[in-house]
Amino acid sequence: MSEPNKASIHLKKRRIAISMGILFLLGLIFFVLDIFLGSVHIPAGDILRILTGEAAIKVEWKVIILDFRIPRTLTAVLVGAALSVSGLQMQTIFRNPLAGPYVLGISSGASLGVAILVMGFTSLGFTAVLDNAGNWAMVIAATLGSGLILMLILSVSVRIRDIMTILILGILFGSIATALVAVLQYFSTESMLKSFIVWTMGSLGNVSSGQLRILSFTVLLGILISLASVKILNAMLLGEDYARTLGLDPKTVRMIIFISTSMLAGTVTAFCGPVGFIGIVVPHIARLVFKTADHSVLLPGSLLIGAVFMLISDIFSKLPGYDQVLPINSVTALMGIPVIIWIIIRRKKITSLS
Amino acid sequence: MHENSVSDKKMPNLRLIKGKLIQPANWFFIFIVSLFYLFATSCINKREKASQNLPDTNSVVSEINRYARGFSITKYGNFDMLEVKKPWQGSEQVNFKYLLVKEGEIVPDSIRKGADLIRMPIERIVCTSTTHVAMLDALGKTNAIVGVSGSDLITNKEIKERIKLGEIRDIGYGRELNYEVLVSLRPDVVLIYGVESEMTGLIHKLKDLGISVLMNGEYLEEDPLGKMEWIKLMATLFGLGEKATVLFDSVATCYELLKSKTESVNHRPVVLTGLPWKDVWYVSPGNTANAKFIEAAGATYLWEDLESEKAIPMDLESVYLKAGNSEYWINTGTARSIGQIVSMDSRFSYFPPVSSGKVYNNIARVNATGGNDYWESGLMHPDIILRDLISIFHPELLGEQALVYYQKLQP
Repeated sequence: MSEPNKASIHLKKRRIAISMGILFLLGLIFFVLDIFLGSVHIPAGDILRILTGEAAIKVEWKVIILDFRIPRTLTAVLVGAALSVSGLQMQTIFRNPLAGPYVLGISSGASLGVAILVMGFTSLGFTAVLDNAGNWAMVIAATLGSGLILMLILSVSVRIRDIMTILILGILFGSIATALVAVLQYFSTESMLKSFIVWTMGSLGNVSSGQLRILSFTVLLGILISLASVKILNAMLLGEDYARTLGLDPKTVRMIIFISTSMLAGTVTAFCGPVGFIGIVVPHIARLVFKTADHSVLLPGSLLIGAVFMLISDIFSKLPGYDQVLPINSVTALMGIPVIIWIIIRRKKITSLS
Repeated sequence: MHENSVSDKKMPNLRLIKGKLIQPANWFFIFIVSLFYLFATSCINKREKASQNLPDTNSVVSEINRYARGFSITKYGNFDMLEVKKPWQGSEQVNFKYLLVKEGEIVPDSIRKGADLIRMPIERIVCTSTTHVAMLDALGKTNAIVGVSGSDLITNKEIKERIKLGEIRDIGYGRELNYEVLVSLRPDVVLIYGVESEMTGLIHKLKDLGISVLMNGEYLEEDPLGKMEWIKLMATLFGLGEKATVLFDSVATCYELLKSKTESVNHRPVVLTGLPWKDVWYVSPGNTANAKFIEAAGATYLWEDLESEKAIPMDLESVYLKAGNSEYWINTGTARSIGQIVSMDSRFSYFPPVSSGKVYNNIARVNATGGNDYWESGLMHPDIILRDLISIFHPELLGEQALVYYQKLQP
């Protein structure tokens, strides 16, 4: 290897390290901002006093910071990171720039579960059972729904070799779920519909502290699996045949990635609803920022960008200073789509994956 | 009157002309004139006949509503003209006019002015809201009901029984109405309501099918008595206007009497209402019947100053802050116990009414299929709802009273 080449690699590494540092800093800044900004105005000094454990001037403020804003901000970080990482994995496995965390039909499956719970069960008179389950009912329903679709996908992917066929089957399974949801919607009353529609719009602020523990545990585990599979992801990028020459069994690889994706996207969908666009947009931003196809860079990069993106979206959705709120899904779409259009127009095409 | 006076004048004039012109010389002229006479008198006869059925259109009487703002009833002689203003949220520009026409009556265009006709007598009626059922029940006209929408939501036992027997059909819910069933019921009128302008499609469809429609907007009234007053509109369909007025006036008197008792209370507790959807609280504004009830019951609605057409989605944290000074929490959606409320979101335990156990819900009369009589017969009994609320907020005022629509939520 010649000297200038070494130098350029060194330069590139430094640039990557600096970008990571900046992203981490941005993450910290928006994390703090997300806690400091909200519908209720609380002076910054008081927030600091609350955070350092001093007695607050108003008990309500302490509750707002500790029970409302901090869990919500942590949820935003987890959701952003999980969806971006799983989106990147899916884009690599399917070698498709428009793939995202939901191509396996996870969100459609979760919607089906929630739709049956909200619109089907209530009509059948199971209301009493559900009312006592509180906000766990929707979480369990969403998990069962996406689990069902995942089982279908996994059982198919053991038998079918061609990854594109799996992609198409995923879309088809998802469409069946969507069609069933439409049937349920057709026969439901306004209040059931409202309850379901509100779920599809996503929410970050309804995760209780116990649920936050489960969410963070599953998301961290999913991210650990992805980080451990950086090498196989890099190999898969060059094609399944190449992976096979390295001694990797494509079907096993797929299984590992599918499992980590469903842990990430499935749990997020279960607790927060189908939060859109982050999973598709963020990996592209990461490729643009780091100008590499190496997953050891793209994966942590997507994770950080996803967290920052979600924190910003959350701040917008809270409309600081106003009592009103916007649905988080609309904010991620309104922020995400211009970014993706800008990338396409600037590069004249979607950033190539490799 | 005007048309009658014209024809009365013409008759003698023509006779006079005839008398003058009877001259043997001009047969032809006589012939022509006789023809003209025949023609003229036959016309006059026809006119006279028509004028017997013609209403006295000079007398225009508008009944003045005491509380309701969304409709008006105007009497053009024998005709009742119903006008429904603002049939759904934010529809100030829209109004519907209906002219009630008895069998065999001819409608002069001067009155009709583009109004839809509803033919009387009304013997077969389809209700799309439980409130329509309640109004018909109060008028003693439930026997006219042949179809309902969303039979699960109805609590009226007689109607339930007749649905079971197949005498009343369920025509489906919302926009997904079963038109074939609807047409086969041959309704004289379909009572509908609209949440948004989506109902215009249904209205046109029903008109195409030759079915009369009457739009109801009672749910938009900002006063509980205003809602009930819509029974006057319903009553005109059956010519029961006086019965409705008597019924309404007695309930209104009762309501005002109860309200006057709370005017002197020293302590007006602050009341929170509703339940959020996930972390978004759709706050009902202060210019609604919900808020009016609380105010009339000698309490203060938490958002009494908030004016809006629709419920406003608010962040849970700002609701929490505002709810800090609330004493009571009412109308908690589907929640049947305080435990259920806390299981939806553990942060509700910080709300003062939850810790003090002062949570009440209007679910005392919910049936097995999920229908809540509060939204049905409650429309016709604002006085009883008010009595319930006064007993909750000021138990000392009315003495021992059993709650009817409300119940205290158990921990």
